[in-house]
Amino acid sequence: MERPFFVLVFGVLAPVTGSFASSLASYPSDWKRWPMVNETVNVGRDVKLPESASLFVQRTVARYSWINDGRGTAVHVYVHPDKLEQYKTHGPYTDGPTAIAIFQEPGIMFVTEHYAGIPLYGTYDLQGADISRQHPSFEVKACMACHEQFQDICVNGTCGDRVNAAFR
Amino acid sequence: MIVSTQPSDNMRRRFSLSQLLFITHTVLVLWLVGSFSYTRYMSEWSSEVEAEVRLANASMHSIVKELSFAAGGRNYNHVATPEALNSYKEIQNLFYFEVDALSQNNNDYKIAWIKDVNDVWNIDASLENSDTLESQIRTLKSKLDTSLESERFKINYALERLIDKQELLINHVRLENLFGNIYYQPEFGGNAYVLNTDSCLLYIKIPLIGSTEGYVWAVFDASNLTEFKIDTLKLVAREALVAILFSLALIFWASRRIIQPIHRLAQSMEGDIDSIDVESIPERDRSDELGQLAQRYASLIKRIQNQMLGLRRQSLFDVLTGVYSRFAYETQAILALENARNNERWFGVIVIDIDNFKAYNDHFGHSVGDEALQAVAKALRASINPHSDKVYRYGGEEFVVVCEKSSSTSITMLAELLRKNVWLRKLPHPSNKDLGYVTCSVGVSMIESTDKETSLKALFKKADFALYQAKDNGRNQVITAPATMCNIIKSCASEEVE
Repeated sequence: MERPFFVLVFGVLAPVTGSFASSLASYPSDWKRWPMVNETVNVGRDVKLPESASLFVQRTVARYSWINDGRGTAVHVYVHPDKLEQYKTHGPYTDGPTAIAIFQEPGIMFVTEHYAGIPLYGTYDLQGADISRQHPSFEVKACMACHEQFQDICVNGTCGDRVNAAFR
Repeated sequence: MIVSTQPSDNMRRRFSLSQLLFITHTVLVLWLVGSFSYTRYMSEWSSEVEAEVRLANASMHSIVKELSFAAGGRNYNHVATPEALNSYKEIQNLFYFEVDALSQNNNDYKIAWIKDVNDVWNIDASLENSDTLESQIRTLKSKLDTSLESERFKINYALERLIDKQELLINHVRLENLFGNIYYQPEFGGNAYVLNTDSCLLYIKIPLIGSTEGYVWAVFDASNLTEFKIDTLKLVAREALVAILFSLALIFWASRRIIQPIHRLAQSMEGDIDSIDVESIPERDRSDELGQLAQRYASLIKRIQNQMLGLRRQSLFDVLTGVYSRFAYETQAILALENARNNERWFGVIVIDIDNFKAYNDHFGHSVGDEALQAVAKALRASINPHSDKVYRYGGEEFVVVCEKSSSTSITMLAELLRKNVWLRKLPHPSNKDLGYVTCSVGVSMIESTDKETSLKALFKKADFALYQAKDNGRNQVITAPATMCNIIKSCASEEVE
């Protein structure tokens, strides 16, 4: 896939006001048939980022480096087969599931879905159980805050950053 | 080459030396004090401005890092969190700032913050985007009625997000309309700051850090600089005034100290050189330049007086014969006349002329003639009483003896003695007709002390007349002017009156 150095981070949509306490995006039960578009890593907590690392990278690492007891893990990104072309241009996206990012250890799925052009986020385990309430970083509002803050990186709910380049 | 000295001449004519000193030094002091004051003011001012700029830069650096990160990722939320807003507000004197940057994906990123409402907005926010959002909202609302129950929570969420976005957008546009035109970015040129003293605002420009292209320009309240400027101006002006007044007093004192001694010296130079008392010349005791000048001046006066004394001595005596000169006769004979009158003694004028002296010179030459003159003078001098009589060489071979005696007989006898002593010298004079030796003819005139009218000139004329009578009578004889010559005397007296 092009842009191999891009890491895509997907969050689970959670209600900002409390009315959306669980995942908003639906669990895509057919995700295993989706093509993987990128493979990257979620770094461990011992990794020291360079000062020049972007705010996005710093925030992402700070938020997710605890996963897998801070030892880091591989992250695989899958895109819905019907939205591959939309993904290449970062949208606009049609309604329905768009992409997922799976943290291989211990098996966490961040789902992005679109509805009326608005991205919806959700967090599941690989069996489809909603885990958005298990940790603050899994909550929808956390996903939303991050995705919406970095408009240069995150366009229409899918984002990429030169995180690989930072570690290369 | 023609050099015009007119201006300096005019200056000298227009002002005295003391005025010139005072004016030039005052101008110099004004220039110096003015220059120093201006330099000091500029130094103080620029230091204060630089300090203010440094302070502003330092205070901005605390937020520039976060602004740079936000600009790099086009993050509008990060710069508007309560913590961020508080950090802006806490910056002292910060009124406003704008970020003008390119994100890492080369998208424009322009935000502004203003203290009045302590809020941040996207400068590029446009109501056109609001229309798009409005359209999306309407679509979603229409879907809401027909959608399945399972989808409604997604639609509601999307609606809330769109409405939030729209409200945020409208707020940005409102803020831009309200506050976007209050401050304008000045022309920084190559400078990192611009100070507008009229509006008391300091503009600074700081580049963003990291890989983010762009800069922040901020507006600070510079009213404290204006106050500093006024205070500094007052202080410098006050100090300059004190310096000028002190300098003027000093110049006045110094001018007087220089000019007054010169003036006193000039006063001491007034009058005849002879009347100057060298010992009383002022300022001689000073050890400075004026003292040196006074000492040199005293030395010069002393030398001049000595030289004049020498000249005067030289002019009193006849160089050839050693008797008194005609100049001495002109100055001393009148005093002798007055002295005789005061002493109530007779006063006589005896005019002596060497007979046929031209022929003597022709015969022996002028050198021998001079020796004869010396011999005659010696004979005359030997004949007189130096206490009461004086011999003068009146001119050529003519001598005058002025004498003061107790009687007319004494004067007549002296005249005869004079003639005889010349004869007794026996100086050969072949051209003196039958006599063979140098002889002289003598004319005598005299007055009593009671005669207060007859002048020296008249007496001389009488004696001279008698001399010619002696010449006419055959030379080598004494003729005393007779009383019958009173008409002549009166004539002489009348001439003198005239």
